[in-house]
Amino acid sequence: MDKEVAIIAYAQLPYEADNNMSREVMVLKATRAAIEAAGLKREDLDTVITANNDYNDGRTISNMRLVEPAGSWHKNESKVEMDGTFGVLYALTRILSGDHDIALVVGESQASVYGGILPGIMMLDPTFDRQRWLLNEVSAAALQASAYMAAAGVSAEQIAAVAAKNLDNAALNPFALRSLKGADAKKVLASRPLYSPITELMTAPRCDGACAVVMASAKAAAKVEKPVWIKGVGFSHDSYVTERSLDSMGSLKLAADACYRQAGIEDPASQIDLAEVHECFAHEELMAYEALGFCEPLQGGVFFDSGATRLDGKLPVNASGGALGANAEYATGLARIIEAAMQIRGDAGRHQVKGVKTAVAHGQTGICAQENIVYVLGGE
Amino acid sequence: MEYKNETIAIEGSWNLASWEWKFESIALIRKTFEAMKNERKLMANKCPGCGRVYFLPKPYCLCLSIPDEWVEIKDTATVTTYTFTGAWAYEGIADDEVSGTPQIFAGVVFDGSDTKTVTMLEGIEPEKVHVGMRVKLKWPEEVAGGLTDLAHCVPLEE
Repeated sequence: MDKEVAIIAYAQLPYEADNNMSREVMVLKATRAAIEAAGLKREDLDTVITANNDYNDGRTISNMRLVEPAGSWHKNESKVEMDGTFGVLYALTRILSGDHDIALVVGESQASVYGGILPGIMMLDPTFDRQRWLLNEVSAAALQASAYMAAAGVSAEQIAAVAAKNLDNAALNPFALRSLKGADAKKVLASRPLYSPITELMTAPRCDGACAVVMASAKAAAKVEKPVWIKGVGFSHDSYVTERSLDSMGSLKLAADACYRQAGIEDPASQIDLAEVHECFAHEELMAYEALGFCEPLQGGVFFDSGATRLDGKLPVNASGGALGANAEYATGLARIIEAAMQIRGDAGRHQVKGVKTAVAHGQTGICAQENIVYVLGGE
Repeated sequence: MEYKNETIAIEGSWNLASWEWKFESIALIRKTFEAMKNERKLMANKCPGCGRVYFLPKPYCLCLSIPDEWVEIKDTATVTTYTFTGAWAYEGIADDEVSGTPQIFAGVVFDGSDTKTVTMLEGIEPEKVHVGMRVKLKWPEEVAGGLTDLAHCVPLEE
């Protein structure tokens, strides 16, 4: 894709354990901030997509009461029951249809309301796995981590060091919920053990939050300063957790390959300046290095040890702290797109990386990253 | 936080028990359970389209065929992944509070099958478990013909 659809503005609310407002007012605040950042009015929006989940929101058709706060009254509106990164795909195809010029995408959830691990359990096969009470999203991720560690020769210390990197980066991100300046692997390993090898600081902390993105057609983006262009997108869906190999992220690789073909990326390690990865657990970032083509298969640990993905490395990953810094589900991947766009515009503040021209943003939904979506974003 | 106090309860119920769910997998698993109970055999179903063997049995395949051939698989298996947990884990299942023994979950692939079954491992220390290790289903003395019969595997002496 060559300058067909751009991200022209965005907004995030601070991610908090309990942000002490209703879901509707939270969405209104994110929506208003994004529209104002775009220099637009509600009337300028053509189409609106929200990303949320009926089960977590505790109601069916959970976008129904978001018509007013998401600015979609008397407008073309829809929702995805997946991460906001998939909402961006929906908005992208709507703009590419030629029928719409300006789209708003909002992702949101409030873990303070739904709490616990039940949402993860409800994603499991209803006939066998829900009854057996063995799998939940943390134990399933632990099975993914063990399978990957055995295949790639990665240690728990390396996984902990990934978490330490992201939590240290998160200390520079004013929106992050969890951060740990100067964190090291030892500290991460000493946090509460959950399911081996996963400890609490290796998990993305569920929280309250919303974020929003304004997208525009080339025509509408022509008047905008510093548009961030969507150069490519790829999306792939894997089979159920017990029916696929857990030692690599097959569907993420397919998504990345499709995205890179569109974006004209032949050597991601040299052509990508920065990546924002949706790592629900620290080990998934190592697996993503491989699937995103930043290193060879099974070399995720070696690539990490090279220092390449640190803030001062040649390919910083999760300069924002990533999902380990804050995980308002359905907003988490969308925030990766926002953070990547901020880096390209030079608007990332204290965690700004110098000279970012081309960036990757990744989103996922489902147990052990069952669905993956990858974007390549670029500036002028 | 006042808004939270405004939350009110309205009498009523969403009685999911009154819904008539349709699951072909119930009929399939019944056949597997009966074979376990009557013959101490593990029966899986095989896809005619791609040859994948599903255990537990499954009524649809990713290749868009219906797995309708029954095959017997073995009760020996390979550990493809594992984790262990205990009462310390956040909302994890409880361990034996007296001994503090962690519970080990493993994703095992029974010989002859292509999919993982999640079971618990017994008779081994957590630190000795490894991917690739061979295990065997621990049949209960009295097979009930249910999911609990598949709850445990033990290391295989080879």
